[in-house]
Parts: sequence; structure tokens; C-alpha cells
Amino acid sequence: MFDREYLKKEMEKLDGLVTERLDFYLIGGGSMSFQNLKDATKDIDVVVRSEHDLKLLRDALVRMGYSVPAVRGPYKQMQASLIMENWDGFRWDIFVIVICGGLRLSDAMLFRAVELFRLDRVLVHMISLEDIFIFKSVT
Amino acid sequence: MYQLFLQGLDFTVIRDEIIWQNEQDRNVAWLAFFFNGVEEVVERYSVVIPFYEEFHDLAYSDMVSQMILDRLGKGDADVEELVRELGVEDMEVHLDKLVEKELAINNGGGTYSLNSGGLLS
Repeated sequence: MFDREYLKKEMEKLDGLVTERLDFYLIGGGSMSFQNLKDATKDIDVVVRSEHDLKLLRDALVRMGYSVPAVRGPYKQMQASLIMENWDGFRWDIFVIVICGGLRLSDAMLFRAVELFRLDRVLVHMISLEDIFIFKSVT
Repeated sequence: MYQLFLQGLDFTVIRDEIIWQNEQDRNVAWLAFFFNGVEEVVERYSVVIPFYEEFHDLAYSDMVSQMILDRLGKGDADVEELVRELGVEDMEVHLDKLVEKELAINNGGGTYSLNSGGLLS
């Protein structure tokens, strides 16, 4: 399991490697870690808003040493656009707008989301607790 | 989930979002998972979740829609056949919703077929 300090460090490393501004939204346990509702998490669920942002994120994660793991049962069902894992076993489940084949990151969700922190190029947002409740119910 | 519930969630926001998502959704099925998650919290922690019955009805409708689509995927069927095979009440209401979402086609004469184009879009 990985605590919020680990998550923050990974995002700082990411910030040093992305080539353009990148916004993403934390929608699950990772977001709860940053809100002190969870001590640690084994992965983070992230939503980006375009295929371009997905490529930016993927390229930077690859440069950080992440790779695509063998996808097993429940994770496969989540229909993530991309799953990447590092040597520590920390995993990013990345979605482009649509989560788990049905739920969409709606305009209302974007409106309710708040900026968690802003690095040089990376902006990390977290969706509202109400929206986390919806996503966690589904996943 | 329970930890989130304890934060004093605004369930009106959740209900409005679920209804909006359900109107947009073209893959159905996810609402049943949503309700299962809610149901688990209610049963495990004996809490009262606002709009619980409404969430149940939405999930039920979602599940029925999935059953109808699965059946139509095997071939066209009329209302009587669907009622007989699936044992669902208010079949016309569910079929009307699927036609409205462009997931099924009303061929006239009470016969329906799957709109494969609608599922793919």
C-alpha cells in the first residue's frame, strides 16, 4: 500500500517529465488519501479529458519506468484505457472521460471538482466526495 | 464507501448526477453495480441512504434493459414473447425507453429488434 507522500512524489516525478501542461482528475482511493479519508492505497484511478492527454501521461510514466502489467479479472472489467505499474507495484488506472464503460466525467463533475495541487506542468484535480461515492459504488 | 458516507454527502447531488448519467448512458448495466454498492453500505452499516428506493428503481430498470437487449441480440421479438421469456412487467415502458435511447428499434406490429448502430455509437 502507498501513502499520500508516495503519491505526491510520483506526481512530482511526473511533473518533471511531461512535455506539456497536463490536467488529470483523481476519482477513487487516491483522492481519498489526499483528503485524509484513507491512509494508503494500492493504486490511483485517474481520468484525463483527451487521447492527447492520455499520450502525454503514458509517455511520462514510461520514462519513469512504468510498464503495462498483465491485466487480470476485475481490473479488466473496469475497462481502463490504460493501466501502468512500476517496480514497487504501484499502479495507475487511467480512463479517458468514460469510466468502467458507462460513467462519464460530466460537466457537473468537473464543476464540482477542486484543484488539489498545481506543479509546473501537472495540475491534479479531485472530484467531489459525492462523485467519488458514485465511482466507488460502480468500481 | 462508509467512510465517504460519514462525511455527510449531499445525496441530491448524487441523485441528479445518476439521473443525468442514466440519460446519457448507452451501455446500460453500470447502474446495477452502483445500486449494489449502495445496498452493501445500507446492509453492512444499517444506515439510511436518501433516495434509496429511487436508486433501486433506476437500477432495476437498467437491469431489465440489459436483459431485453441481450434477448434482442439473439433475434427480433414481439412484446408477448419478451414478457413470456423475461417475466417482466411494464415491458412496453422499458421498450419505449430503449427505443428513445436508440438502443432498440420498433419495427411496428409490436415487434422489436436490436439497434446495433445505437450500441456502437
